[in-house]
Amino acid sequence: METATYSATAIQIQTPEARLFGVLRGPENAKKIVVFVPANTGTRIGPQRIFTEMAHDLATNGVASLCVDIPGNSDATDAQPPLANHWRETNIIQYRKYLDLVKEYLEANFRFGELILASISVGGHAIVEYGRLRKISRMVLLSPLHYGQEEAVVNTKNLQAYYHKLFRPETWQKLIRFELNWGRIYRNTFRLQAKKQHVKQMEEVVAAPASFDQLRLFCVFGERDADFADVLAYWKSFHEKGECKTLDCEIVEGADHSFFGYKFKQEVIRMVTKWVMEK
Amino acid sequence: MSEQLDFMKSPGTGRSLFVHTHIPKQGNGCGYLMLNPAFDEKKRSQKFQAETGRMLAERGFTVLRFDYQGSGDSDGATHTMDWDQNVADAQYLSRMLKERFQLSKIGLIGIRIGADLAIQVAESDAIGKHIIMVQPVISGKRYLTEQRLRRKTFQVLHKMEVETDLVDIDGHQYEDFQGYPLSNKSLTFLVQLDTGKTTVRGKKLDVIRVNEFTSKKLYQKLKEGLSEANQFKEIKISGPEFWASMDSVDTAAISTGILEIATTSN
Repeated sequence: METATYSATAIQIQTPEARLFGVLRGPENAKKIVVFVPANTGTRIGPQRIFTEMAHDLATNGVASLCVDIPGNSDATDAQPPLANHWRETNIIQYRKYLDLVKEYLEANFRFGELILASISVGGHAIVEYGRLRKISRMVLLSPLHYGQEEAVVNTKNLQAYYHKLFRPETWQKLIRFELNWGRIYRNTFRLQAKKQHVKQMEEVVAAPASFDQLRLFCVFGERDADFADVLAYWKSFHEKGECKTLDCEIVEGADHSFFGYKFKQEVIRMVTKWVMEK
Repeated sequence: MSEQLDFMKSPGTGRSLFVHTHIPKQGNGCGYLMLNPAFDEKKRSQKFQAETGRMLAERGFTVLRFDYQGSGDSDGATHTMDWDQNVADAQYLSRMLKERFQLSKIGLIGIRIGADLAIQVAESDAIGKHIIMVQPVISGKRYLTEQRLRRKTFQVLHKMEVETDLVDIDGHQYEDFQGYPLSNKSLTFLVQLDTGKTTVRGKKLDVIRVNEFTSKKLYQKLKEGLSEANQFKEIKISGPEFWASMDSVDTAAISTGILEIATTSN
């Protein structure tokens, strides 16, 4: 993954409210630019560096990309609290604010052609809502969730975070010494109802989604994703109800939600590059 | 305090290293180079590193963070990451940090395996008298075993049918650690990594333990190996294992601890 064939520029987007850091790759004023949007606790490089590698692949094919951090996580700063991963409206508002900064920066400083948004997991629906609002057609959604699922995702993620601790001696030492925090373990694993933050801007939330009938979505799912069948059915229904103009889906056999594994990652990169390169 | 992002060429390979520098408004003549953890530990540590860098810069320290080749935003395919090259690049950047900002003292802050690499950086370099080690790995063999166990558990939990964890890339064999293929050279490096048996001398070593339950014997060996020829201190700070957490966690206590150590040491 060398940069000899394309340029890579580190950028800072500074506003009174936030400072975002990112890397712009690919030809200047390319006909297409993909903006990689992390999930709420993610970084601009993505799980197993998938965004960076995808950006490299696109750049060698003449497509520019911007991998940029999300406020409240990684390098980015923001006066607002970190994104809540369990409430749809909070996600949409905060992604909207952040993506507006990115979009304005790109429009002010470059002359790229088509803007394509890409995200993973919780970020999926947020960028779809943003696309509707700002009339951005094409989206790449890696393992996108759906609204009903987002409230539950924190439980699954937390459970997964605990699994490796079972194999550590210190966990068992704590257990023997009655030093495990059972209250916290219970709350994290079996959270039954997500907290709801009162945010004044909730009134601005799109009560009815903005009308835009040109959405073209590309969804990639891992076959071993816990809710794979439900999520696939949800997005197919999304298309059947006319919420998006086109829906292309790909399934990576054997892969999990984040496509962990070199071969799975390469397959996702290949699929995304192919779809983005299409007219 | 300002922040500067650059791509700098590695003298060893000519590839570009992504560098993020935290520059104080008024410097105190001291700087720190941060060394990252590996695998997705790096991704999960990024916020902590940014916050710690900013905190140090607010107090006059110049802090340089960089991504190893083949990781983060630096050049190089993921499978080309080379531990020896990481050490060489860190030595180069330490010298560059000192010269560029005219600093009198340079220290190292290593997180997880970055802490073990920091010891190697300091072994053959006059730079880096003060090394802050955040939960070092210490034993590469044990670390490899943990990573393999984690991978196996993940595969079992997700009912993944995996024939082999070996992948062929450009005619060479690599062992895949969930998207991070390691070459035989990298694996050998890890197997041989034993930070308690280094030859580093004359340094001030502050070892931060967030998890005090990690093998006491391992830390005892580290102390025995390093305290004779160095000023060695173990510091326990209560905080989350941010490198392992899938959610955003509050690491302010650890950052503050590092700031206190840096301030009293310089």
